[in-house]
Amino acid sequence: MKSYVGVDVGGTFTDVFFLAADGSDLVGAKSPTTRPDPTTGIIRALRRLSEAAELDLFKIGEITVGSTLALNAVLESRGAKTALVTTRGFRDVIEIGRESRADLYDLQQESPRPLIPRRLRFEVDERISAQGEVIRPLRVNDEAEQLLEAFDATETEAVAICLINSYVASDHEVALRDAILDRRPKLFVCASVDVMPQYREYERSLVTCINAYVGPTMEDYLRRLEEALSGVVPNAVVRITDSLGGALNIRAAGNRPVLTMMSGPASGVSGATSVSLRSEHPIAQSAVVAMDMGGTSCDVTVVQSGRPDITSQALVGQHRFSLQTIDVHSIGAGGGTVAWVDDGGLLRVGPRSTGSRPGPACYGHGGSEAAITDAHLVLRHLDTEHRLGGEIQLDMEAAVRAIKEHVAGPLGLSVEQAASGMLRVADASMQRAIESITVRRGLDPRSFGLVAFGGAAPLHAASIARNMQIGVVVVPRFAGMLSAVGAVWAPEQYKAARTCLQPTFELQRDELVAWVDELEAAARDLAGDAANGPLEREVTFDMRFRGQTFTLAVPVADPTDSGVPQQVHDAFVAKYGEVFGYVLPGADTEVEIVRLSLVLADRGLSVEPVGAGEVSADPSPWRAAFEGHELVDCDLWHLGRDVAPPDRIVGPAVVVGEGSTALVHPGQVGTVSGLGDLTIVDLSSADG
Amino acid sequence: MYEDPIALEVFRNALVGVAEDMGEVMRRAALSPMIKERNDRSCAVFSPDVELVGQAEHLPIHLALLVSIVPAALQALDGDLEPGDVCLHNDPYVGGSHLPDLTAISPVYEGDELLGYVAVIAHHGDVGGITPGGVGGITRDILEEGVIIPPLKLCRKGVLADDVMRILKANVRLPREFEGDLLAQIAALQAGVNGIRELANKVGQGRFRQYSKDLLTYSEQRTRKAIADLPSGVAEFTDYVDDDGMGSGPLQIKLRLTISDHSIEADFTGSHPQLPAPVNASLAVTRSAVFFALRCLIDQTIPTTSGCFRLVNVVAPAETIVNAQPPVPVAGGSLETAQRIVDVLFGALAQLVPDRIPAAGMGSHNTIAIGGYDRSTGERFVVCENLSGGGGARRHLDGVSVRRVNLMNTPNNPVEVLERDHPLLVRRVELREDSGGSGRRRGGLGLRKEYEFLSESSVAILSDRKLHRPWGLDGGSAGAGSSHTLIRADGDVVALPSKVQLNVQPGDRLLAETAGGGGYGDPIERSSDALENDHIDGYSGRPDDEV
Repeated sequence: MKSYVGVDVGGTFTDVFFLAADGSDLVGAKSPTTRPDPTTGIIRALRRLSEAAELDLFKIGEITVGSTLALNAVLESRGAKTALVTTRGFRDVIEIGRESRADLYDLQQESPRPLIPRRLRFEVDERISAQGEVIRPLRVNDEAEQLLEAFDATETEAVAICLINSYVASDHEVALRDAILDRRPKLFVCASVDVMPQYREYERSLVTCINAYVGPTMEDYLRRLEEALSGVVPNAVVRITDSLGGALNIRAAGNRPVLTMMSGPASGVSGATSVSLRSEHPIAQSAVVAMDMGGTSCDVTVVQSGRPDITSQALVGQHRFSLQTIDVHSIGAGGGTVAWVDDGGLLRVGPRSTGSRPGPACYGHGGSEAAITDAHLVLRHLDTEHRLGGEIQLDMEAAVRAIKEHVAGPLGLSVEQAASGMLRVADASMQRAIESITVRRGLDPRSFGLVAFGGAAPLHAASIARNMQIGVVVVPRFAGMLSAVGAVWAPEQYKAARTCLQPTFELQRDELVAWVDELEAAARDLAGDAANGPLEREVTFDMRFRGQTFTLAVPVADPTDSGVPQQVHDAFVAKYGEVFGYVLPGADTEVEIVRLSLVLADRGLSVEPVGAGEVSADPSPWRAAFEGHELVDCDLWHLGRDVAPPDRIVGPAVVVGEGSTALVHPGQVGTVSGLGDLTIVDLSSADG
Repeated sequence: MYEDPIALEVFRNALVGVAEDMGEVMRRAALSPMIKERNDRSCAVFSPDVELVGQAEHLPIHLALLVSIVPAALQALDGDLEPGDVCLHNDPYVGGSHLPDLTAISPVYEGDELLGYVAVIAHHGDVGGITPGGVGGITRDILEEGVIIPPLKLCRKGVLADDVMRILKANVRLPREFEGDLLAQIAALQAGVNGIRELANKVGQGRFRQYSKDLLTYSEQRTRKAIADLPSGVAEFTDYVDDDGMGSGPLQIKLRLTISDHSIEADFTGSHPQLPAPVNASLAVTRSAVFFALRCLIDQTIPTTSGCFRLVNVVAPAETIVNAQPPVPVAGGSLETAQRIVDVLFGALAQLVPDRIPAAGMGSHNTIAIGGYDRSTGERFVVCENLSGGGGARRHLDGVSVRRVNLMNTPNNPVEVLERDHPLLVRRVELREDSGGSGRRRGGLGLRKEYEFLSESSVAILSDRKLHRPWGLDGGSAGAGSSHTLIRADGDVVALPSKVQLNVQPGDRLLAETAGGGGYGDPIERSSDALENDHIDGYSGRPDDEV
């Protein structure tokens, strides 16, 4: 029996979460994040965890670490000195991009700086046609020799190779990669077909460049991490979270660091998914919107039957590139988001944020603008006696001052009215965000639950749910560190894909079987022998109507079945109808991409209801504003590891949990599950 | 000022949200690359009085289009639109832009109550006419540009008029794409109708009306303040479209711009008379150009409504290239002429608000429309390329290389998509070295793109800025002019004019080079670091007098 630990390295804190082998104990701990090397912070957080829960770290069998290192290297332009090798005539593709500008009307927008400067972009003489025929052969040894001279002269540390049309025929790319690696085995070299063999040269080049750019840094970090962990948790297998809410072994993460790029938000969604799946509420079990609201943004994601929505595009800084990642829709609405009155007399909230420094006025770090957290404090949603995150003593006077000056004064309202208005506008923008990921895709938000996590979401979830007629809200016990929780639950997965671009009914069974075998070999190669258990194979097609761009993923039960074309065509048409409400009559479909995953899904994780704590929870009297701006009598609850949860929390109530504070509105009722998750429903539905 | 400023802000978000949702439905369901890859569509919500109250525009050219088109179309139908009806329209002379832009409009009813209208404009891949793609041809009459659709009913009470669809499909080159995109437009309208009805039910119909009115007042007031913040004054500027493709030119666009305390007047009196050539802009296009220039100077968070347009007066004499009247062609008017109208506006504004205006950008849509039959499949193909060039340098920043400028912002066609879908081989896509105008800040570089044709094809090029190059500011030099060259399979090299139509054979090649942006400030003041980097990266290096 092994126990599990999840680690999330955030901007301010490193969170660790522990799950005992038999599921009987769940513990969280925090320690400040250390920079530039986060390893120290991780070790400190583990030590703190072991002290807090009297744990024997030697008993930890698996540790899953979230890393923002690759992301930060790109955001802060701190990657390796990277060269790009491409087809003659195309070295400027990554600078030209898709030609459109980021902002329609800003005449002073900065020129986007290409990830790889022109002086480090090299061309080779070769060309492959869109049909995969060789138009100009590659003289691989000559080219490799010349490139090496250039690499040496420029002290290149990493190399990305992306040739035009390599998604159809990869021979040239592979030959060039091998020729370079033969001569310089220690150079970090990656070919686009290894990273993302899909058409569209700009997007494929960029993702390959990013992979190379962060490669050496990431390899170095993973080596140090593995070494440090072997001293503290010597019996643990180390895994790294990926952008799909899954995890990779450490070797795969080193080869494909770009896959870890969006792992922070993905892990949180993965945590929300585990909360959804173990919920006792039938709606929350089948479909939820995961809502993560921190200091600067609110991220929402649709999760259906335990599967989060996936997108194929990621945006990092000014770089938009192809990457399979959990589809997180982000808007500028967080605890630090600023409110003001514009010159037309309307109250505006966001997207600008004061961040964590100086932060909201009530943090007392010198912020003077009116932020969302200030509004919560004024309306008494936060317990001033309780330090926020155990650290920050909230300053009520500063919050009142800021709201008075920036909102209440200009609008001629009371401070409470202004604060309540700020929350209404912020709620409206978050409701828009939820609508745009549900309604726009043919989903009815009323058939969803809402899982609220991050520091601020549990304060907004109950009102948003009520406005949108969402029937159930779940606030996870570890709402403040759900990314660390998600890391533990992240399924281990290895993926491979190839562009197909064939009409569905022209798919040949033999060819398909050969492709699937090829993809399986590639995924197994990525997994190496370090896969931590038997892997299950899943095949999906990205399909669309011929001529369209937008694809839907269709699972393929058995790729060797000769009935595959009819099955996937029918499944696609049905799904399209659900999403768009109509189907193009008699239109042909095509398969754009074949994807294969090897998943180690069932790792035997279990959680047991928390044993009743020693102390029984009792509410204290409190006054706070809920639906309007007037303070009303309500209950203030404190829940925690040592506290036996109450049977019912009847709204209005303020519930202070282990990492966040939640509101239960009048007419709503909360129950705390055996696992410590707070579920909020309308009183009428609870009694009915 | 408003009954409930907080509720109004919530309402504003919701209304624009409906327009955005419409656009998203359209994009996902569309078939043609124009819409699915290039975002060439915009959506809007109108009040029962046909005032624009919410808009999600994805291209600046659409800024003031729907606000012209929708009232004109409804007037043509005598306001006769019942629930479930869809009005379709593309007539440039009834408030429109050019024929490929098809607008669809539906009324929004709740019971018998008219809540307003929703509209979506989308650029279709082909609308018939003598050249593929509906733009780029050397035409003399609008009839040569494609099928003209006066405001008519494509759907009656929710039922598609099959005969209308059939006659339209019979007149376009890619009927399947055309129909798919039109159905996507209808789906977008449906999403809009549902969204508005839900919103009205949520806030109540009385409030819905009140808030809509408040939004008009709100945006008018904010625009008024923004204009008041600009320095008052009068400035004049003239710039030129090189030629009309048939030997006439240069074609002047003359502007007298007056900024007063609370309004702006753009007077184009003295601009070139309209011509039987594809260079005439409709009034709606000219208005969009004016509003775009203003939009670049005022707070972007002011919502686009009819309230904003009340303060902007455009004087454009009829039968000039900035206010075309039947029967002259207009295809190029919303491309090349529209680009130049913006340049003229910026040229005038640079005198009034000098620090905030860049030097001239590449100033062209540089359209290359290619069509024919793919000899490997036997199928007809049409592809429309728009090439970017250099952006103008700014007071503190170099110009951006190969980027959409002015009214345009569609993404390009990836080479791998072009080659997979069409009988073309792209030989290179690269920055055009030394093409940025020199200056303390350098103009952005133009593009060099070379196509090899694999099937016999017809090619139409509609470009500009070959002769009248993008101007510099404050002592900066002009960017390099555009250039198009045909290299025949037998080695013959033909320098092409900027507007031309020709037939090509397999093995022929077309080398397109777009203009660079103008420079800003005296070139002598360029820092040695910047010069050295330009040299190492090969952006520029030769002495200025050789450029």
